[in-house]
Amino acid sequence: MLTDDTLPEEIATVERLRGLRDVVTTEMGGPEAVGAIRAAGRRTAREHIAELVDPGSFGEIGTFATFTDKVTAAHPGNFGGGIIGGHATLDGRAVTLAVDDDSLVQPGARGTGKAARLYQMARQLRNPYIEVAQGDTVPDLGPRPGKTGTDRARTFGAEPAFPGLLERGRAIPVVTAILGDASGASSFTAGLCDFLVRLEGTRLSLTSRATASGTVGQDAADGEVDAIVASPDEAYAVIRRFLSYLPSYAGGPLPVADPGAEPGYDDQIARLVPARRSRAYDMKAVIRRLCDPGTFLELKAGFARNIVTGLGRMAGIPVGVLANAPMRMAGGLTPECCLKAVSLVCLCDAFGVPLLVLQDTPGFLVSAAAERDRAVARVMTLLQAMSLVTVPTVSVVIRKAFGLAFVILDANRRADLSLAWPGAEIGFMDPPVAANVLFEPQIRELPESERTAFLAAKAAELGVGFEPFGVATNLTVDEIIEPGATRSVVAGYLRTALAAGPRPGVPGPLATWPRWS
Amino acid sequence: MADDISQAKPARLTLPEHIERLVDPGSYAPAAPAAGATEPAGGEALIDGRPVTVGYSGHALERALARRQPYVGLSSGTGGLARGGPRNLGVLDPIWGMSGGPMLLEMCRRDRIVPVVSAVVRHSFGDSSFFTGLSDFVIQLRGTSMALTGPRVLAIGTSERVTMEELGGVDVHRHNGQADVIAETLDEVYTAIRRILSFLPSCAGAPLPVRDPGAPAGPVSAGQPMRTLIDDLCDPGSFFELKRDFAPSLITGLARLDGYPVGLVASEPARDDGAWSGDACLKATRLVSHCDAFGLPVLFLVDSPGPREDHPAAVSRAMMLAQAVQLAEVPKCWVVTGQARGTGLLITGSARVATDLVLAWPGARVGYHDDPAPPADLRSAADPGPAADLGPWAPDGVVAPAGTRRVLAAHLRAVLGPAPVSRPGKVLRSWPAGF
Repeated sequence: MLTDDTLPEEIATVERLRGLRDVVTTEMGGPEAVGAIRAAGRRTAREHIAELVDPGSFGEIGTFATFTDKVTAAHPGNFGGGIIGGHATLDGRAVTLAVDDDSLVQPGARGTGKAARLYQMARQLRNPYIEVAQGDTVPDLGPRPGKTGTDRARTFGAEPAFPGLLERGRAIPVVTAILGDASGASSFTAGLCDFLVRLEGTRLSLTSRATASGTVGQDAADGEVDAIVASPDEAYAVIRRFLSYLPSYAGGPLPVADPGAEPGYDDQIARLVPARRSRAYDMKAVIRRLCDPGTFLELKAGFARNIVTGLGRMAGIPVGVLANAPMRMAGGLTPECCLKAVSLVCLCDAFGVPLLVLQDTPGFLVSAAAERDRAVARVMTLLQAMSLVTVPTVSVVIRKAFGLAFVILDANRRADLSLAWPGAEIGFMDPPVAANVLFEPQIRELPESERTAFLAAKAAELGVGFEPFGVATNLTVDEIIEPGATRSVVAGYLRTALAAGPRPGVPGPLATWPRWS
Repeated sequence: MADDISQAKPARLTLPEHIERLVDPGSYAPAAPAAGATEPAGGEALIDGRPVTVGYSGHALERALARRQPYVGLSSGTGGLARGGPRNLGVLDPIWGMSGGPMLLEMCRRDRIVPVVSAVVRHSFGDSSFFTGLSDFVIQLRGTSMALTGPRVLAIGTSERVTMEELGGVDVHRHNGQADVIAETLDEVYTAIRRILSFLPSCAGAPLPVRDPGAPAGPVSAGQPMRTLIDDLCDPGSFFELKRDFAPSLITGLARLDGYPVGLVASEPARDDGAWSGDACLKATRLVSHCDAFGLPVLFLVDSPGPREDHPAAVSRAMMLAQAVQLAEVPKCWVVTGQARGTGLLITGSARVATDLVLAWPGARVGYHDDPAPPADLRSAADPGPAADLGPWAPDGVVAPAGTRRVLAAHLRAVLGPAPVSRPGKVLRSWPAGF
């Protein structure tokens, strides 16, 4: 209980806290460093946080961590210890974040131990964890000669350099945004996260610039980056969108949005897909019509463009979308497409997001170059991923699907629901190629002038067997549906599947798979 | 027609002929042929006195999984199409069935319960290659081709004309990492299969095959080339290298140390300074995953300046290896023979458990590039003080090259005991088989 005697002292203590906090949060790495950031047209770590999270929601953790000296010293420096972080809300949902404070110019002064503590808290709270990387951080090896002060490892836990992320098993969503050149420990979560955003023009390298002997890493290959943005504002927006599709933690309730109007019959969607299979069309237009308006978020858009991956909603339910892109090499699949697809499948499986697969592909593009690029290993990795999927999976053959590609995209024939549009072709091999392969001996005996007609006739014969009505006779597809009903059939199925609750054995081993191989 | 492309010239043997040459004399017991088949797809036999199942590709895999014993698949040639084609060409499920769908599903979900070795002894396309791509160890015979599909389909489908070997010969797969061992002759194929199995338990959780170590080959000394060092450090003649020509800045293989089977990951400083390229990380991750699945300790010999970043996916692959090392539950030992620098320190392991041991040779340089080198701390085991400044990466001890083998052997004896049972880890056994 406060008495007249203690009150002034209490107030003095609180005022001291306020005063110190004010200095720490306004000075950051000092006026020169902050001024340099502003002069470069960039934002400070605190400004990033203010713009990213819901207004007024940021609760800071570790304000007084400096890792160098007592904060009360005349000029302590290193306020925040190189990382500003804490808890906040994004669109009303709790998140934990750690932002590199690049106003601290001395890389060795950053404390990766603070990120470790924040990650540990995110795990305990089951919050998504967001790291903004824009610094050059020397990973903590504990105190080194020439450094003074606290033993960081002892302060913040046993694994300061890797804040528990190596064993993360996708238990909570982890987002990394590269908003400035990031190297050393600042780059580590980039190789471990679920969603990697990179601001155009920034660089990512493993080796700290402060310790590199001459070489500095290159920009990350496009495939590793999920979204490339032109401004920090775009980064904040895309992080919000990405997290909006995921539960706060693996096994948590899916964030189902208000479904709006019941999905009705779409009498336009069929027009997007030309019947003649040699004609290309924009699969993304089909995806956008199937998803709730404005909900499709494409991932890795600039990489392996023969396949499209992304997140969206159907009748409010989050879905992962994996679709062939006939605009690119007719939708034929390359080894890189497999990497991209595996990445989406692991993400969806770990967080319980159902998968929608839209097929229109002549199959895997075979070539000597593809074999050199480890085609067998990569195709098999995708087969393995699809064989281990535990989330509800719906496959729709839009126009054509052949051989191994069909088998794999149909979740190794384990899709919950295999659908086909009435004009689909499904078979062991593209009919014209199959005719050539199967009837080669006969072809050789024919005069040159008759060969084309013979092949066309044989291909047509084979094609009859590839019609969905043949394929549906033994449940190779479960149902042939009207294109216009696709949205309502898929959404209806997903609603039923989710109502049944989580499945046994979920999530499976895919939750532990590396983010990229 | 089918025969012309499915049999490489040097290997026109039937399955039983291969098996008789591979297994202990007289031990092959063919399984009963499957319904509708005229000959068995494989059967059981002994290799070095231990039961295995051998078959065409994955066709007898089920038997090995049921018996919990290693499986050896000899490539069966072309896919379902060339074996006569499906009866109803439009209907896919029979194709899925006849082209190995159920077997592939088992391969994809097997969690490395039993070791699977695949030998490409004739041209391999379709399901035969798929099985190979999902195997733990792959041996390819020179003259064969292994690819998704054959040159004929390639020529018809894409007009690309390549020879068998250009498409998927040993010179393709020894460089891209898809073949662990290149064999010049069939005898080398059989020897390689027997050698690989000799290091592995019959299944995850079974006893580790410990052997009499024999006399050490020679004293280990500083300045030896890495492969010589490995030969001298391990039991004589026991080192069996895998993926030699893939990511050559790193050496991986299986070996024995004081009789215990171990996986070995060693820098090759003679190639690119021993830097960790993206492919090197992949190569090491694969070996660590195998070792963790089959309960083999892993020995790292480190002499590397750190990661090389001018490779695609450098960041993710380095982190993948860091994850694998962290997640591996088997005993791990490190010997820093030269330098262990920068992020390379982290890749080679951060948090350590009681079964792990980190040693450094006198003069080893552990730390950052900008640290004064060599740190004074590593001159002798008697003066371990400054070594503690390396925090979690401080070596447990400094050991002279000549004493390395003795210290490692004592450590393995202490953590494994005289009759060790493989204790597979929980996570890495389900990591991608087809890296």
